Amino acid sequence: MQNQGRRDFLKTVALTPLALGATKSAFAEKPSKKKDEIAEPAPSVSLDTLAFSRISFGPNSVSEDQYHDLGKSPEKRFEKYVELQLHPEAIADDACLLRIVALNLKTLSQDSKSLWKAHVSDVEALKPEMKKEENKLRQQPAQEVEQAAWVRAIYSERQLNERMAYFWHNHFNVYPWDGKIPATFVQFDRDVIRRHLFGNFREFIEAVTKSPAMLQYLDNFTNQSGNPNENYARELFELHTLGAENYLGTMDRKNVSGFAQGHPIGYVDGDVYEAARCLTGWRMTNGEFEYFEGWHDRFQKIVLGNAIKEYQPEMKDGHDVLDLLANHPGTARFIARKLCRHFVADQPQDSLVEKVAKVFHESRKEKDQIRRTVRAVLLSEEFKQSWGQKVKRPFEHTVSILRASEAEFTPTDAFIRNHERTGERLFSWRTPDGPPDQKEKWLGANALLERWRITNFIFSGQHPEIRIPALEIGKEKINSLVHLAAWEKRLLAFPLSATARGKILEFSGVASDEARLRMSVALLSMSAEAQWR
Amino acid sequence: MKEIRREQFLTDSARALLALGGFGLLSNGIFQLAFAAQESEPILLHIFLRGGCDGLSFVAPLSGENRRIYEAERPTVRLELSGDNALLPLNDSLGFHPAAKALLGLYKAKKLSVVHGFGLTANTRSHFDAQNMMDLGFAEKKISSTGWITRFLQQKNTASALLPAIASSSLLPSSLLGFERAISVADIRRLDLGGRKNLDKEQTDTLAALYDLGNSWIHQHGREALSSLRILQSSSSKPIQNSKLAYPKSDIANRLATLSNLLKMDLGLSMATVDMGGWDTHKYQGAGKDGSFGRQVQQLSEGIDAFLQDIESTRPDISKRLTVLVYSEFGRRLRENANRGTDHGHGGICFALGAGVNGGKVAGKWPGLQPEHLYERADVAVTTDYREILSEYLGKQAKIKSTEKIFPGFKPLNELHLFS
Repeated sequence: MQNQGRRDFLKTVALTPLALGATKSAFAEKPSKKKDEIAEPAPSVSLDTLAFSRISFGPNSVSEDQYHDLGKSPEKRFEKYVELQLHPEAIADDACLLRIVALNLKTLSQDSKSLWKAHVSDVEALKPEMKKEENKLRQQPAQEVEQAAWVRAIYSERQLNERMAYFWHNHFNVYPWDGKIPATFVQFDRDVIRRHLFGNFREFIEAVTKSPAMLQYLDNFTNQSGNPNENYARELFELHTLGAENYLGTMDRKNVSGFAQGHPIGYVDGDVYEAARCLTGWRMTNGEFEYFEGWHDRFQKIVLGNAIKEYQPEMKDGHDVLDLLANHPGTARFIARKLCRHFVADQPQDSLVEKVAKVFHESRKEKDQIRRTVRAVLLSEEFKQSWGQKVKRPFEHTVSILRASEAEFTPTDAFIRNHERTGERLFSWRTPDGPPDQKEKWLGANALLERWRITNFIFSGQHPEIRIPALEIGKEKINSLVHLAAWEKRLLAFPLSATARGKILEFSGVASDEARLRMSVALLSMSAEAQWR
Repeated sequence: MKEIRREQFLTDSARALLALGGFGLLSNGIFQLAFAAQESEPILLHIFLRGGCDGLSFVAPLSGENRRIYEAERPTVRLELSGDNALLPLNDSLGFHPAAKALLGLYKAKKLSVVHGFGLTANTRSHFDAQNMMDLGFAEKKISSTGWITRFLQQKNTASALLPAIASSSLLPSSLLGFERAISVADIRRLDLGGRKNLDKEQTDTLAALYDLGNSWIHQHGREALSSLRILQSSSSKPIQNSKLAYPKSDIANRLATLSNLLKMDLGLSMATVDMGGWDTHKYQGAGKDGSFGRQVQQLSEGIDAFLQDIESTRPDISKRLTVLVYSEFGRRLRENANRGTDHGHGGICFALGAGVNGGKVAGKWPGLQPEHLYERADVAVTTDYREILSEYLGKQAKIKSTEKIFPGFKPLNELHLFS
């Protein structure tokens, strides 16, 4: 398959030389396995497949053809693909853009002032008889960001860009559906996350700190001298930069190793309180960032073993905190570990994390610090050896199916509500830790059942927001051997066992109708084999 | 049949029946017998208030020096002694939030006891650290592949129970980490695969056959999901409803109503865990029934009350075995912040209700608010380690001889006599 584009494959589907072990006699049952046995690893796959599964949200025929045009040697085309994807601005993406235009979204290109006016001020001034519209209007900007994110993940050629947006939205998690946050979420997605996703981390955290969405979500917009609100400062340390792995609790900071030299190995509550004081007066007005000197605590603070002097110039206290955090080797390790966890393995090897952290730390003054770091992750030997270490989260699974089946998809409310039951809805994790990137959380009985249900939703042909042309067969009977062989290649990273293939054929029947074919294709996507990435 | 184990039950009889074309053939009678062994087992419902519940607003001081300090440190986030929003006295020194009327009723009926100064002794004010330590059953940062509930269920040997543990949420909490047979149930009305209706049963059977063919980590979880689905689908032990009782409208009440139905299906549950969020009140938490904190208290109190009444009126046999514990990862700072809210603190509250609870008392040592009694001179201290109460429950109700493996490194020292 790797030598032949999927599109070609589908055109010549009837010639498929698959070993179809589909005679009834081949349906012999294997004995049921006990589950205290050690789990079997996933079968290995080619570097091409690994690249699609991890760097993109899964293959479709177009991207696969383009990939093969990059070169004959698997190593070379992999490296070219990584480099290409690391420079999204160089990838034409008109088809995706047209799809977003077709959604007729109103808010994505508006500036913060107009968004605040239309979705906060004007809403508050609504006449009583219009109050029913209130919630819809308030939430519209966040809803449109969500719709666009679905369309981009499925149709954008800039797949790594979309993965990075997904990664950083999870990292700098904001729950945008409350109060006045929706009006500021377009700016957060567009000017904070998407602008910095391959950029410089220090600039990134400053943009996050000043973003009205984060200012509201973690309360820093109320943080003032004399009685600071420490909510944001705490999560800035614990979740955005140093991470809980570098939190030393409530101990006296003078006892932290390295404190006296101004390089403490970790942080304590005292650092959080003082950082909160440094960020007093960082607030917002009418949906835009504002520094308000009158709220700022101008006296001396000590953060991470460094004295922050009294009466510094405007905003310098906050800038100093962000510098200290961005330059700390603990931050490099924490961010490196999260990136490795996303791209390589739930429990990435420490040696890899150290290697990647070194790149992050050494390029901390570079404009494209994060691009360099991600490159180090993707080109590592550990990445190439890591198949079987990652399981798709519900969003990843759904997007991979929609890509592979070349569906015509519109992200309607009904679809999003159904998908939410899998446990993952975009931008909907309430607490600031963001959704976990490890498999354990996502395959509980209920979550898995809902993952299967959304798969059926997609393939059933009973929902107008999803059309799959390749499954629109009409009344005629078809040869399911041929169709299923083609679908298996589209949907799975590695072939099913002959026995498993036989089970699905037994369900579909050799001569099948559209309904049975649809439900058979759904079975392929529900299989254990389809959950790896 | 009493000795039948779940594993055998599923592999032998159920899989055989499945192969014949349906679980539906399995009669009621077989199910009832299969569960018979579980019928005297105690059940713990564990309600985790995620986000750090302000213990000092749920149960506040009424008198003396503590009251004076409380009023001084909480000029706006404060519950009064008289008027519409007056505290509901539990004894001379402490009173419930005015929105906890339903809980007061249970307290007076000696079905509920309160512990103040309850929590995690670790030095942390991080939600995620604190929740993780409590879910995993430690008081320090530990990497563990199992949660404390998992270790309890392993020790208890729940092989004969069909569904030993349930979480009423869409994702599993870490307390059940490593327990593959735990399921989370958000809505038990959705018990099909939701595709083409006429093909649903056949499709489910095929999916089960596919997941039987391998033994990867995903296959294992898929099999668990499918057997849970089968069990729920085929349980014909229809939950008895109390038509006179209506659950209030709230997320927590919905979860408890779902759980009540599952309990009534006699699936051999010994542990259910329900999360309630919304307690991270950094701003405008309010001081009476109408504030955001007050609404949380009301939803929780009325939800629990309806749930207990429901079980008691329809299934007194279950009610006799059912204990409820309610707590949070930490309490909040004594001094309110500038936004009429409270920041992360230390000691909090715990409520024990239901079967086996010595009700109607404030148990443990209420540490008080004098500066020298506070944790870091800022927060309510922890005078009762959370594992103390869990251990006492496990020992007295669940008849676990030693909790050494469930809470490694922890020795219960100060029994509270919270359970008989």
